[in-house]
Amino acid sequence: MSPFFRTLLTCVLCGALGAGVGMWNRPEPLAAEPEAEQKQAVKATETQSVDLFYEPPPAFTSVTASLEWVWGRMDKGDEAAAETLFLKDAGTTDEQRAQIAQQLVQNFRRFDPRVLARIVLSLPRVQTADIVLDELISEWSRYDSEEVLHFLETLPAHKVNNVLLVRAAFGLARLPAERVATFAATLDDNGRAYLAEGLVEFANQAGSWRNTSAILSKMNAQGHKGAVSVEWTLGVSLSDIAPEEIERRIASETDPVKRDQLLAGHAWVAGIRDPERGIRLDAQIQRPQVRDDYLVRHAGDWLETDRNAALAWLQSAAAKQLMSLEVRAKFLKAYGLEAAP
Amino acid sequence: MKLGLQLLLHAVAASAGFWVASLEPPMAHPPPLETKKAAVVAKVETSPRPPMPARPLSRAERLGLRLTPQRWPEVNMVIEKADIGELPGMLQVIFGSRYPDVRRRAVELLFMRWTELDRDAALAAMKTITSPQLKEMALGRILFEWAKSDADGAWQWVTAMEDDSVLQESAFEYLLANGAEKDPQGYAAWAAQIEDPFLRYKALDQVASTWGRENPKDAFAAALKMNNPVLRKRVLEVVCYQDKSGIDRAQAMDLILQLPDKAARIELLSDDWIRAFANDKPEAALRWLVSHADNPDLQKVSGTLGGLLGEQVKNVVELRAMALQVPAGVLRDAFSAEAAWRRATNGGSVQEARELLTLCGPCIERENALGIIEESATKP
Repeated sequence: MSPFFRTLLTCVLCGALGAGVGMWNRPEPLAAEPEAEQKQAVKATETQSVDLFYEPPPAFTSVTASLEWVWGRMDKGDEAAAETLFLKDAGTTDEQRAQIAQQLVQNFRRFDPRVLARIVLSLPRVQTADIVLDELISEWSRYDSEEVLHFLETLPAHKVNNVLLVRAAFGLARLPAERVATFAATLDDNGRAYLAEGLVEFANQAGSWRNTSAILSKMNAQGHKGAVSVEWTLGVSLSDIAPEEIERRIASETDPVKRDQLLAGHAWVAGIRDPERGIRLDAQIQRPQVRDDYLVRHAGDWLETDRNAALAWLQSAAAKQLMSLEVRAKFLKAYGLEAAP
Repeated sequence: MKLGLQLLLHAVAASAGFWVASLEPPMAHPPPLETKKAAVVAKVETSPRPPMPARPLSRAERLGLRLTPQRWPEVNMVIEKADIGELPGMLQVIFGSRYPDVRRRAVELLFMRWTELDRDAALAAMKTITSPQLKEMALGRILFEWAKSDADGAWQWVTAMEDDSVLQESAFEYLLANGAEKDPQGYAAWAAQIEDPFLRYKALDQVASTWGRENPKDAFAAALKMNNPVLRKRVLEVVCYQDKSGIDRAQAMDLILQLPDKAARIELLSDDWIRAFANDKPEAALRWLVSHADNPDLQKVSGTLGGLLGEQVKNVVELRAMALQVPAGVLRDAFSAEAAWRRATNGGSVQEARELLTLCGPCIERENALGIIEESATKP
């Protein structure tokens, strides 16, 4: 073989070797599957549009049938099926629409929450509508606090009700304090009070107490009629998980109103668990109406837990000091006994 | 000189071969999307959709197409082949998904892959996430992988975290959920000394859950000797619902009856143990109650059992016979009153409920049950 052909041959071999390396190094073949995928995506969009246009939802027969239609459409790739159902007048009553929406919200994981939100906000003002909105916020708060906050910020003021704020707190407790405080500033005193209640209520489940404390200190929530105070909620939470901590806080609280709230929250929970102990704590509550209500509740619990001990107490001098004759007589009468004045 | 020329020629040939073979094959352009029908969709669809590119799709874009509840099973196939350089783009695509549950699960898979390839890069990427829940999920996956090979290192990293208390606490819970069973006593001791009462509870709760689930027999035996009432209660609650624990419920309840705290034993027995026992073996649960009928602590437990059987036992004659097995007095009163009102409010006849209530002597339980039964009688 001449030197020329020998060089040519070895060069060809080097080229082939380089090509081999190049083939190995080539990016994974995106084209084979993507082409089909691209067509599939286009087809899905076209199918969706055709079906939306030509296949309106069937006339309403039952909530179950409407939902089956939605699930069937979604299985075929029609992600807008639920909203389509609500855009068309299918002969449903307001309550039926609310029931369908409730079922959709209960299947939160299958949906874009903004679609659910639009559906829920389109509901007429029936009682179920508010419940459905609260349920949507509860679910959404488990998944994405930021989206929930953004949604709340854009929600009409009349829709931001008390229950909704308590439920949203489960998600908001995870966000930076400044952001939550900024949102809280847009609420009225009542709204802030309910938000604060929710933040403390979820303190042992979501976020951190360090963050919740920071939020509370920045949002300046005041007690409000109807809303449960932060101190009462704190008493309830700590009574169960750290009773020594709540007793330390009660002992060191100098504000008599806050102290009484802490004590009442603690007494309420402690008394359900251990009525005898609860009654001892109830006796220290300063507000007469609260004290009387709690004593009635815990005396009843005690009778259902340890009848003999509770009956003995109801006839004791201690009970006469704390409970009216009328209340004691009512309890004792259930056992064929009479109350001494 | 000649040798140099030869080498150069061969190098050029090899490079040419490499370059030609490395080129991506050409692909036909997809059809345009902008049709009249697509426009109809746009009116209905108010959430933004990314435009479809007229070129081969990257792996991140392919991932984007799969980020729906319907196509979820295919997501893993894309992520598990991803190179390190593709992961940031994929993360952005995941953020664009409209489905929170899909986002969460995709982030979990992505960070599992990222940690396999480069843990430090995964940690850096995790810090860029703004959604607290997604951040928690990402860190959870990193820690899960990290703790397999270096649990101490993972713990130190989390303990040193100072700028995000929410993330730190979820990380503690994650580490405990995936490792506390290795040294439950040690982790419980660590948790018990935490000053913040809420974090302390979360840590104790997680230790109890992991321990009670992974090793229920040991956890149960240890709980009976515990001084920490919060941990003891949680461990005994968790163990109660481990159906395959091999723990004999009747024997376990005998031991719980010996706990020093009366309120704790009543609460545990009535809220958890008798319920689990009655759901599993209702007749055995009744036998256990009857065999302890002289114990005054069981009034509330008897009521709970009566209520459960009032719902479960369809034949009222059989239910009445069960109530009569409980000795007359406090326990039978509680049992029959609760059975009666539960029956009335769960589809049973009001007349049957009233008859059951005749087994109950005068007491507060009877008064309460009577009120509920009569109220249910007025409802259609």
